Amino acid sequence: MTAIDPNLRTTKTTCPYCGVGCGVLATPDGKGGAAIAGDPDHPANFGRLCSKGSALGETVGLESRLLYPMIRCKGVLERVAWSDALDHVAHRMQHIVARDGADAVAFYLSGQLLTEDYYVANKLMKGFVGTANVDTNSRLCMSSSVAGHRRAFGADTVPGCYEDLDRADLLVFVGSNAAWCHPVLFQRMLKNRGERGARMIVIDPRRTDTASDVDLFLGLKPGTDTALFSGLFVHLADNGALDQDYIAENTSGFDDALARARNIAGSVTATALATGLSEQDVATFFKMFRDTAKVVTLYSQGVNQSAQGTDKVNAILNCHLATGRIGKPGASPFSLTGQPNAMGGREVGGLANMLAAHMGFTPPDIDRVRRFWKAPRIATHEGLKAVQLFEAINRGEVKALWVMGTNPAVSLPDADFVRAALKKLELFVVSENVLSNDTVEAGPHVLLPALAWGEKSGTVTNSERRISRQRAFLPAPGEARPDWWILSETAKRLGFGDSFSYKSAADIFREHAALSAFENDGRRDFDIGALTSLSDDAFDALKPVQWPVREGGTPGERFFAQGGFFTNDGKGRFIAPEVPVLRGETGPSRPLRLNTGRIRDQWHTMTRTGLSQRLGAHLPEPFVEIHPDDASKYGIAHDGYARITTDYGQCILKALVSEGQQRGTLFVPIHWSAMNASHGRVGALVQSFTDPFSGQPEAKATPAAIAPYEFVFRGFALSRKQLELPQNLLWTRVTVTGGFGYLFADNADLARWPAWLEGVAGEDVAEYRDFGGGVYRAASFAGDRIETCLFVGPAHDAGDWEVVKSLFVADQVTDDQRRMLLSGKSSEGAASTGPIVCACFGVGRGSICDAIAGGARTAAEIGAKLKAGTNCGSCIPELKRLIATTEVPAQPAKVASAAG
Amino acid sequence: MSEPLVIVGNGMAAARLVDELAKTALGRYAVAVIGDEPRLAYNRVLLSSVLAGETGSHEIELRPADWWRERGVTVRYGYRVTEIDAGRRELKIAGEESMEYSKLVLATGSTPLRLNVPGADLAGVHTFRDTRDVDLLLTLAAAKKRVVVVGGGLLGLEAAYGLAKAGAPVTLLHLMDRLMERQLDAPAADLLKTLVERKGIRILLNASTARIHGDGHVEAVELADGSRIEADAVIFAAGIRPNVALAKEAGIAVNRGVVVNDVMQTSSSDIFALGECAEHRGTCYGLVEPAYEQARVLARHLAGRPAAYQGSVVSTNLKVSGVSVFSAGDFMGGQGSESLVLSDRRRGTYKKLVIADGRLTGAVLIGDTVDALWYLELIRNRDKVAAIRTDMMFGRALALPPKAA
Repeated sequence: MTAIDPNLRTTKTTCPYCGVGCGVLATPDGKGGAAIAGDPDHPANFGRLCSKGSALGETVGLESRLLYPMIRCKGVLERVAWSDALDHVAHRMQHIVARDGADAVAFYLSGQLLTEDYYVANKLMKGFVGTANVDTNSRLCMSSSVAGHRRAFGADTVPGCYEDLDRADLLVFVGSNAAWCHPVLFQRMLKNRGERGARMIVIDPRRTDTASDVDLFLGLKPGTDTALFSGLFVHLADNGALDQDYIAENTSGFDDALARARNIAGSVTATALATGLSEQDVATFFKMFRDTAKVVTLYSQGVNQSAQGTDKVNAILNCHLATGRIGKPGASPFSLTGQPNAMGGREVGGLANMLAAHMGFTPPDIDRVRRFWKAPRIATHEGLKAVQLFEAINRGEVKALWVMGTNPAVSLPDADFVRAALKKLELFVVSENVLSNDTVEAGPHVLLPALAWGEKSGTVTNSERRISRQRAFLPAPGEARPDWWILSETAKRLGFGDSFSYKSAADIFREHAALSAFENDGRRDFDIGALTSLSDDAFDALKPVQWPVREGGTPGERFFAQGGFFTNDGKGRFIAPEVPVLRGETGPSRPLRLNTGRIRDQWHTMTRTGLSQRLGAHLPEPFVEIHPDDASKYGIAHDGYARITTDYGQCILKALVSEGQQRGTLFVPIHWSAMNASHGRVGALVQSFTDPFSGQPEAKATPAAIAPYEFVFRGFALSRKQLELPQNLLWTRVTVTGGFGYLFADNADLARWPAWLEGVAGEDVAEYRDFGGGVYRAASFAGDRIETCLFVGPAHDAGDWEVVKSLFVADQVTDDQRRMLLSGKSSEGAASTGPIVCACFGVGRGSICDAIAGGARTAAEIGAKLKAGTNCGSCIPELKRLIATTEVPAQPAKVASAAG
Repeated sequence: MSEPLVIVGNGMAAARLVDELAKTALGRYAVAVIGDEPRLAYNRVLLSSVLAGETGSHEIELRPADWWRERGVTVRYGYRVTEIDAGRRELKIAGEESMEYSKLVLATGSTPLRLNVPGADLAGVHTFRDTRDVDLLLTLAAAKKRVVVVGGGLLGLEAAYGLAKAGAPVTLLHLMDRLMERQLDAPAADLLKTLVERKGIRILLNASTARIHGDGHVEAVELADGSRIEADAVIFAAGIRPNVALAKEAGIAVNRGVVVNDVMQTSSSDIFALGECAEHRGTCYGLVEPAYEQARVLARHLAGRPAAYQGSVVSTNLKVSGVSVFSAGDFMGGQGSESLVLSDRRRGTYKKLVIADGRLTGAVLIGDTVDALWYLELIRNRDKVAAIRTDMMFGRALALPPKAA
């Protein structure tokens, strides 16, 4: 090996998390990890990163990686050669297609895939195998936006771009906790607010951190967004706020839509009634929207993940069409996508109801794509959307499934049903990069090792239609391969070699670009024809570029400001939405509505973020949020445990009593799975009703019941290696520095722990027993290093794991530290810094409260003292909460705030 | 004219009594101390460190000669009292004229038991009680003689440690299944055994000495199980017998020790007893702490002040064979008690706290005795410990942190 490893150069790439698509500078450390920084030149983030992005370097380890192809022989997965694995997959697919037809085969893809991987998968199935059973986890994410866009614009076009967020005077968030889910964009909008005085409105059943400090918060009843925007539509119409010319020249369907809006919410009063908001708040919102020309409405999963998600989207779009506030600088509707390449997937058509390159299943489109691909068996009708797909699998109609880079056994609604359905498959292929997530556990017949972020190379598209390169900066581990290679090799074995003889991601991208421009002539929004002729070098050097990039077109082209929609008549469509009703009845046995969502520092099912100790420290345990009134009504104690029951499943979660939660609703995060929590598979709780247009499931309003769940004992374990914990235990696994942490609660006899420890620990053990007091603690050592640490105690007092963690980190503990270890208190008497609030700099709540007590009265002052909140800023709302709630004796501060 | 008060025995109890009297009843008595050891009172507890070469023989003297002189005390060491004539309030002294007293205090201490086994009278069989014994043991060790110590209590362990440290190969025999069974529970005793063995001392438990072989001089020790241990010398350290002969012959009530009431008064009203020779409420104490408490009470009584001895919460708190050992109260933890245990063999620490009806009632500490006195205080004051239960094991500093300003 040369003195200077060429791989150690800094590489420009793109973050693999949310749809903001931040530019990242990655510098490998030569030991398998990498130093991560924001790319100051990237127009999405200009150098900023959020807590998740900042921690990417901690998540590229190979511990949990799948490194070799494996085939299940007599129940056990055995390593095989690539050629054998691919032959097997191809033969089984051929056999099943020959016997049951092409529609018995399906792909389930992921917004994590690169555009090139997506393209090859989509082409293989829709053009050559002959089925449109290609769907993706984007279905769960933003398919309602896709459907809404297509209904209104005739194409899945996102008219807005990030620049609008800097130039808007009013930012309306609908069902979006951008502060946590799109932190970098949110900081960008706060900057606009600070510098230009833009105002912010948050519309959400939950008072999230996004709503913590805004001009107006509308905590509407779940599922009533359509009523609110129908009311707004009517208000705009009745108060002369319409753009009559725009409506006349560029749109159709206005009258029907307005009439329907009047039926749904014909006045401020009716709107207030339908949404459970006060008339004053409704009126204020209407007035602010009406009187502000430059308004951007940002919407996300709160809108999309609904059985009426498409109607919600169109109710919003109606208001923007009616005011002509679309595609103009600072004025546009804006769907914030959740995944790094949801947009790329949409562009290649990797959805069951799209064909390719923003073309659908109309005869001319089908014919065009067939000719371009020289496709022998082009799919002629829509395929099965995610939820329907797994139902078909359960009915035995779909017999072969290939899952790429996602975790359906966790993330799909009614996840236990899905897990059961997967067992019925004749051929179940998973190409993945982690070895054990719930999907892999669901018994696939073939495992194919795919490249992960940092190893694979290609393009992704972010929420503002900007195509950026993901570049490899780490070597391919083991025998892992790019997904496009795996698919092309399979295609060859299926006899389609000529059409899949790709040498590189660049080859594929050029073909993708060519298809987007093929017989386009401006008739289709997605056109990157100008990139068709990119050389390999040019592709490698490709700077972030926003589409359309038409041959001979001008860069930065905006959509729809002067109309030019992609419908047959070129007009934008007003859509008359259905009257809003939630699917699934609440009642005495299911009195509450269960809402789901993300938390700040985790991503999807944690197969990646779960590897970071920093990200694990903010909210380590799966939890349920409940309003204080409901808590007392159902006997739920803060920090106690609660059992949540729906018609689909059960979870036992830590209870957080929060004013931010609306009465009658619960909130649970989506991230935990059977891999990292014993009773936290939230997906199993969620109903599977879907939107009639988008097929997106209603993930945010499942009827549910909650009851307290008592545990006699609580505790935690820390270990260098993963632990096999005793049976009948509630546990959550958290990555901690130097190993694995387990938080648990138990009702079994304390005496089982010493016995269990004996099986785990070596010779050198220290022990503390107070069985009378319900306490057992022990630690085992190798030399001066802690190997395993176990604390069990009464529920109210299980010991402080922050202190023990801080000792566990060290490679050796001093004799005095060892003497005090089992006290669970630091020998220096220094109080623990408490749970991590700022994940970027690992600043704990204790330290922050000290700083506040020490006089810091603003987030900035805290930042100056502790750096907390000075990187991604996503903890700033929490900092402000702490400032508000921390007692400060200093009189002057109170006087000042009273005066101010 | 102050009345003559005579103390028989010039050990630690006697010295402390003089000290207390000087504080509480200065000038009231003309005090005389008579003892048969040929030197001023010394700290018997330190004999093992002398044996171990950690302390010089003269350094263990409790008080210098002029300290006694300043207090007007007549010290007559090297004299043996042969008889008490309670009627005439007079002491007969070997080779001397009798001495009168108005108050008499017996502080005659105790004598090591010599096992009643064949060969116990052979040359080379010794005990470990006073400086003369120490000198003798030092010569043995210097000559690298193989020594068998009989008795795994405090005294035996001290002797064994001292001898080993001084260079003799030592085997320690103990009748019971664990060392120091009167002060330690099984895990503590087991840890202590390990730590003592680390110092090169061979320890045999459940070892009952059957006979000592030798032709005029010790050659080997035979155990009840027939096994044989070659030896050049045998040290008996298997318990002590209170020295009660004088009292008994004087017709004073005696059980195991000289029976005294709560002011340390014997059945003869002007005669008192304290220390290892006394028996209070059925208990003879073999430790220095109770003797000191008794001295304080007796001094107050003799000064005419109200005082009463209620008995002592026995605690052991010292280095045994160089290992810190503390034991107090109901350390075994009987019916209706709870035990808190912290053990870390590699650190050589074992701590057990016994709690009954919310109070600390006993404790055993091996290795880490930093908080011994705090625990003893808690036991004696019978404080409720519920509030500090979770932290008390880890020390006063953690359980009762100094209030931050």
